[in-house]
Amino acid sequence: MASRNGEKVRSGPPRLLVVGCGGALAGDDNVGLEIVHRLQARGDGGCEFLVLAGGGLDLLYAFEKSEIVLFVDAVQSGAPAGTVHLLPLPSPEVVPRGMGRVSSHGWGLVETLRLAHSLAIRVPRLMLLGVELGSVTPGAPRTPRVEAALEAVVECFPELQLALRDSESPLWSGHHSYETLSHGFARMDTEQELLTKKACTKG
Amino acid sequence: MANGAEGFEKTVKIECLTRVEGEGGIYVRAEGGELRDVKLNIFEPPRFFEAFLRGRHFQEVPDIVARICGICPVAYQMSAVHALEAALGVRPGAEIRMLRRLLYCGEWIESHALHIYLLNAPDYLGYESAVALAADHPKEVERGLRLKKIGNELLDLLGGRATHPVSVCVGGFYKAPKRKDLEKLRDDLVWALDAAQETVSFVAGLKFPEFAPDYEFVSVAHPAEYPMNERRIISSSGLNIDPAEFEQVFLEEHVAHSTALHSVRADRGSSYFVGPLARLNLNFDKLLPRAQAAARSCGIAWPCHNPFMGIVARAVELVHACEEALALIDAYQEPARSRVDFRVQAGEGCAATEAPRGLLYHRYRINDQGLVEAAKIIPPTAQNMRRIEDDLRQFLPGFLAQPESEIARASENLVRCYDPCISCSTHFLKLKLDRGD
Repeated sequence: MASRNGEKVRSGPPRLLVVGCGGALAGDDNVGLEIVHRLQARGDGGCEFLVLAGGGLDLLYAFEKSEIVLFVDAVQSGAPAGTVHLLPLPSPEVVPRGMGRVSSHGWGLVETLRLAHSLAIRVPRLMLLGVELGSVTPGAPRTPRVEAALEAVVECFPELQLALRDSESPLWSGHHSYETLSHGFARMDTEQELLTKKACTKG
Repeated sequence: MANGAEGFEKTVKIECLTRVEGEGGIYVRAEGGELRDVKLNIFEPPRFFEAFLRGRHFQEVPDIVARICGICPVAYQMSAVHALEAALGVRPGAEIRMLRRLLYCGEWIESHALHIYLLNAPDYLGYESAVALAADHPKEVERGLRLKKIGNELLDLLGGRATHPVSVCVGGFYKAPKRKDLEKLRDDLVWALDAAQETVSFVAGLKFPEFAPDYEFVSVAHPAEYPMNERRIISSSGLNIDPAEFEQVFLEEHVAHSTALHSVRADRGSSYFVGPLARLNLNFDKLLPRAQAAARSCGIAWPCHNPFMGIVARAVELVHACEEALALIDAYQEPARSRVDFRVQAGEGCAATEAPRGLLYHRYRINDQGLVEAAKIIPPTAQNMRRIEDDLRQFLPGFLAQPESEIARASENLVRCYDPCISCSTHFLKLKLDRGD
């Protein structure tokens, strides 16, 4: 894989970084963090994990070490709670908060991508796994549908990991929504089936 | 009514002060070409950390207060553990003391690099943001990013993670680092020390507005060290007190337009200034040699009263933090035990340490079960709030005839040079200019 200056080449599978995002104390908003924590606890190999607690700026450092970055976060699109969305970034479907100019606390992915562009830093392939949230009540437990989605994502992560590393995978082609995870990851028999039309709804 | 016309009112409102930590606004009202009112509006809801702490075990406090800020969690942990150790009569040994200074060096490096390059430098070079600055000055922004990263790595190693570290406890650390792991950071810190010196040259060459109010600078002071964790509190007006006297000498006041309290001198109601410029002015002779040489050769006469030159003081402290971190790592010997034993007893204690943005005071009262009965936290940004408003009153009259965008720009630049962490003091800013049109 070419480095920033296009000089270094490395062999082997593309390095995958899984980035957990969210608010730990805001109900379903912590689903991305929890997915990463559970994957780390399970000791899944073959990828790196990062909990994004220090703002988007830290992503620049992570870009250096990865060919693929999967963001795992709670999302709000109006779909039923627990729906899992998979889409490549940047996407017009993901609306930035536009807070980076205002406060470093709001420095997000968009600002990081712009800074990377200004500095000619190579940006890896980016994918979002978003879990539709139900409630962000501070201190509240995750809602049952989001909890079920979380468990299914963790269970099926090895297959997802394989699919992400395949640059020809339909996953990279657009927005895929899994209204219930049992219709998606849980039904797959092979890694290829993960991406068949019966397992996902193109959105 | 015409904007700025003599005899008429003018109001400028900054809806969103940019490139600060947190959220707030500025209101400026002028009448007859004269400034009538300035308010630094902090509308972020109060965060109630002091109330959260009541009833919690003292050993939970360092982890809870770290959540007050993602940029300076170590400062909150340091003030908390020193105050709680004062309450419990705990005296950690020299190794722990050194490790705590090393941890603080990491936070100063990452926080100062962030503010200098990404938040403040765009002001002096005419850019709206760090992203725009990076397009024309990639070398400088890359230097800042790498410095920040090195600071974060130091925090990660000592604190268990870079944001909201988890290794700090009352009595020491849950786990002390291995010497061989610290040595791995040495090459990066050698680079960082050179980069910090280049930073001083870079920021000292910027063009600063002429502005030098008569400040009372306040900071922690130690007889032998540049201030971080101890010992007394001094000021440019001759104050020299024990932290236990802090609440008698400094007073917190509620103001209607701010959810952050304002701090003033209790005896005369005057504002005061905390932060890198105050520290450097009051402790210049305690800077380590390379930092002191950088300060002497940068073309600024110290003590310096120009708040805009705070960016240079911050850069000098960046040199100091890298220099001290290297010295601490070279001298480090793994402690036999990472924390000292002690008996839980009821007591009350306070401490003042130097957060990247200035003096941070904590006081706790705990009962014989080790539960917190009372907590008081006075962050540096809250202490600077009144001072920032006083500065705006002195600085803005020269801008009142200018367009609102210029008044807003001047106001924001001035506020930003304080590196306010509004989130800590409660949270970014809006300018409202009332010209009475």
